[in-house]
Amino acid sequence: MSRAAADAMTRPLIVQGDMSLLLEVQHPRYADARDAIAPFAELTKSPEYMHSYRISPLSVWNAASAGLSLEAMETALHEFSRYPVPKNVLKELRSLVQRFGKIQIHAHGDELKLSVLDSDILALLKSGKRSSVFFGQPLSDHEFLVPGLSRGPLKRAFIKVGYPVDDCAGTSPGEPLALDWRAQTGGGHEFSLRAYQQKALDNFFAGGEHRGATGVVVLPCGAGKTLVGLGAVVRLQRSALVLTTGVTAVKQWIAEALDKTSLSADQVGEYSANTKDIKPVTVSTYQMLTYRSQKNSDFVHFDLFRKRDWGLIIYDEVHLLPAPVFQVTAEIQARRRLGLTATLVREDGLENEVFALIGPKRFDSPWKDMEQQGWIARASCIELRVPMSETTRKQYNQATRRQQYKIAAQNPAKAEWVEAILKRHPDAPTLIIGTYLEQLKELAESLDAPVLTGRTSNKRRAVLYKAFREGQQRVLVVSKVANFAIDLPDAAVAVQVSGTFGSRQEEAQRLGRILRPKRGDNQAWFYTLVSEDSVDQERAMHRQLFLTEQGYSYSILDELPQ
Amino acid sequence: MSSALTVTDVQDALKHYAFSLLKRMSLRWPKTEVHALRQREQLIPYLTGRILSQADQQAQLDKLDGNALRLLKLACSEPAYELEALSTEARALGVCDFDGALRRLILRGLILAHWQPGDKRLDADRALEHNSRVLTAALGADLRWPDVSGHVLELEAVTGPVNDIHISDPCLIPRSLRALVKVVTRSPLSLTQKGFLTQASSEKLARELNLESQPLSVSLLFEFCYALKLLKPVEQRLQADQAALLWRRSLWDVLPHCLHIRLQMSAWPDDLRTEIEPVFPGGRSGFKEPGAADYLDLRIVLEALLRRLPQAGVERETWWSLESFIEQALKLDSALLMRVHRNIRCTNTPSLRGCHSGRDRALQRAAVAGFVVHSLFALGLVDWAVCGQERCPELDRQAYLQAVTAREWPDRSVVFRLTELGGALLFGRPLPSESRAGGLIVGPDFEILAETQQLSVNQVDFVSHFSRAIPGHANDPVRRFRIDKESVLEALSMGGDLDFWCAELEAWMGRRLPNNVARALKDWAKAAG
Repeated sequence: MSRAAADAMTRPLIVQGDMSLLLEVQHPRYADARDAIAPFAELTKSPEYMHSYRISPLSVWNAASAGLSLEAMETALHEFSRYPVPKNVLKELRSLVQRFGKIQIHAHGDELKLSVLDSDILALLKSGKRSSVFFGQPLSDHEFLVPGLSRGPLKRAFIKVGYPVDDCAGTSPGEPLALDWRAQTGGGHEFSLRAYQQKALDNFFAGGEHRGATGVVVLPCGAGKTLVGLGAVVRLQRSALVLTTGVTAVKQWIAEALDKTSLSADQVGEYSANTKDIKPVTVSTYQMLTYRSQKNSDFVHFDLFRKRDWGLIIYDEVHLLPAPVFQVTAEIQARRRLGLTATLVREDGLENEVFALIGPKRFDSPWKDMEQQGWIARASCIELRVPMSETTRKQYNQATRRQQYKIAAQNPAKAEWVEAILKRHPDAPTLIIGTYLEQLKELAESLDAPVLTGRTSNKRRAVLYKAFREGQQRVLVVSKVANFAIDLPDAAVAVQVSGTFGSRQEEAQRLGRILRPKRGDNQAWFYTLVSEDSVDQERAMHRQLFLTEQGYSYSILDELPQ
Repeated sequence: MSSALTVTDVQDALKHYAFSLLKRMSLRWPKTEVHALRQREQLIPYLTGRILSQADQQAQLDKLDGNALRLLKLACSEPAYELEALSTEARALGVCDFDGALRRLILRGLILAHWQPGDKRLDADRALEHNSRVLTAALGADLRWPDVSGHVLELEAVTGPVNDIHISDPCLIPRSLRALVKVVTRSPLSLTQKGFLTQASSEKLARELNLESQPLSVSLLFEFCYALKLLKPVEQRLQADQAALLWRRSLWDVLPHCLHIRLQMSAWPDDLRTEIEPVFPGGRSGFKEPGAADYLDLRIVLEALLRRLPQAGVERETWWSLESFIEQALKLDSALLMRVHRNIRCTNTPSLRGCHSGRDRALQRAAVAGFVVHSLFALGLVDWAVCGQERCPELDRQAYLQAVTAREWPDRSVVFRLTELGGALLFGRPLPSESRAGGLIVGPDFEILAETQQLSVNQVDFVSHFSRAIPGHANDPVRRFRIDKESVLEALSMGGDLDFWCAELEAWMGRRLPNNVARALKDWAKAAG
């Protein structure tokens, strides 16, 4: 190997011409390189050996918004790149960085002042159909008056034509609220935020008075996003509205707030179908906000946003934020906003909306890094191939393609395998997760375990969760309800007996059920039972890809390991 | 795919090509030399046949007639192997095709002779290597390129900063060929009545082969396809030639042949040119009509010049000024640019005949530059780059040379360097060893990352045999491939061997394949029966 080639190998990063970055994980300088590029490149996948990042307009604007200079980005690339950085990448990077900050909005009395500092961009925006409508009364050659209510729509429209707006108009302070962390939790355990949670909060508030306290924090399931949200409230000392994905998550937020902060029960309210308490910290759901009696009626609960002078609005699982909530969020841009999520990838491709209306990404950390540091459990993913009996195979062969999936997914032979897995982990709290209720009920019956579905009342769920958490109930059979925000801190084994059509999001959520740190070896097991030689196997491939892209090793076995 | 099969396929392919040339060549032989023709007609298949059998080498060589033996010895003799002399000799015999085929044969032996022990490809071609040694002994001469140190030319090495580096991809042509054959195998392409590709076919090809982001033209690919007998026009449809079956089975071995065909394209017989002429999108308006000796001379002179790059300084990292290369070309053959001149057309200069203006000279230079920066680049023999900021306005023109468009030149100095493959082909330098693990990753996400600068040509191309290339930039240091069911089934249907792939990948990775990938490959192979 020549000296130049040997020198190149001392660097872990490979910069491709299409703006993607490949980072060698086992390289001694991996961590340094990761820390250098993560602020301006989006982690797209993190399989074993090589992580992929992408420099995108949003990732660059996120970085520029956080104050990272072009020189710092270029230096990071040059310093760690194994081969010369392609010129087109540097050119594109420069172009993207230069776009940011060219358009700013500032407070101007009750209204806003829009400044476009580049005459070419000004001409472009003024001639655009979507963007031209925001130019109000001119204040100078490049400054224009904009109504306060246009703040969100303007940012949304400009980013759609490729120009981010640097929002320097600040936020309203909100109603004061005195609160602090408890030194000990309600259960008597010592408590403090973990280093990465502190870092996430530091980043969130780093922009200061004008730019800080709006944005998104990305953390894996089980890494304590709720605590980051509560941490933001503690730092601000202001009232907060928390929006979550469901009633179970509402309960979880409230329980955490009461357990970890000095807030009392009369300071925390639930705004749901059953209870409509509006307190200094109020927790509600997206479904509640988007409820309307008829398709063309108004959203009757939208005024929750205005019922108090909220100091912060927290969007839990922001990747699931429904379109109408984007709409109302566009109208409340003067409020501080915090988005929490495990992934910024939206199935509907509305990442731009999140950037424009919630704010830029402030913190992100790969799952595997968290796992190595012990903040989340180490998970082993195993796919077990379950043969079909002769009868089932015959039935399968004669069925239509659609029916075939159902038959394969509900393969009765899976029941024996579930039992074998339970025997392999005799003491581990275990979730049996599936899609088909009939299958789940049969399993629950044979295992003598309770089954939990969407129809299970909240009261019953709470009882089951409590029993599970306290170890009185070792096995829970759960349907799709397991996909979102249920708090089962001690689940160490998950057995997936059937799934929907290979949804990556579903897989992330299901895996998230077992990722909370475990006592002892901090090990969790994620089994997927797949009928051999069937469409079930093909569907499992999608789920498998998701897990491997997250860095999990994935084994396909014909029998349980000893 | 087993090693034994690979050997057979390569030899068959070589023989196939040699036969084809000889057959065509024979049509133009004078009646008075019928006797000699018979013997010569046998020469190349005879040689290749003997190489296959590993027996009776000397006896077979003894049967060669005087002319053929003289030519063969001239090609192999020390110290002054002169391409020009050889070609003159060949032309005197009226068999420039013979020259081309012979050189290809020898060159292949040369590459093999320089491979390192332990080189994986060596196993596949051990028989050929062995026989090239026997051949050498029989001729009493070393089979390697002559020492040209006495003719060293002073090219200007560039030491200043080099910007905008374009790194060649030696697998580009074989990979694109494979893709083209796959496209045509799935669905034959429509031709117009005159034999041109229809607009829809052209668009389909450009789309499926992702040609927009490649320094390639459909025309260039078709040249190879025809030369290798991969495709043939049948009743207004272009379809895969049945004779290509063997090739398709081991198409990743096609690379050396591609290189030589391209370098020796000038030696193609007229009737082959006529046959392939129509199948070009929009015709071959940029070509001078075939048959001109000038056309051949350009190639020979430039190749000869390339082989005279200063031996001592030809390091992988040394950049050479293209301008100085052109100057040296002029010194070597003052009529060179006139020959180039007569072989190009320019869209805004319909006729250049007899012109000597500065503008025409610039066009001629652009054509020579095009040879280096497009033809040799597409073949993987050179990388090129632009250096500094000074203008080179004379390159900023549009010209055509052998189906390669030399245009949109940057307004800065162009420099080039030899790749390892270029070094191997032009100087007989060893190709990088393939035994070292590293540079290749098969991820559990079914993606293969191949670091082109750490892997050999064949390794990277091997990967693309059973996977799908993920579109990227031609200069990317890592080529990405995705293994999926369809790509694996396709490769299996072409005679691939799953165990062989897995063993090779694991050897190059230095670790086991991820469990889920190995299992999926087996599942797919099982599904394929």
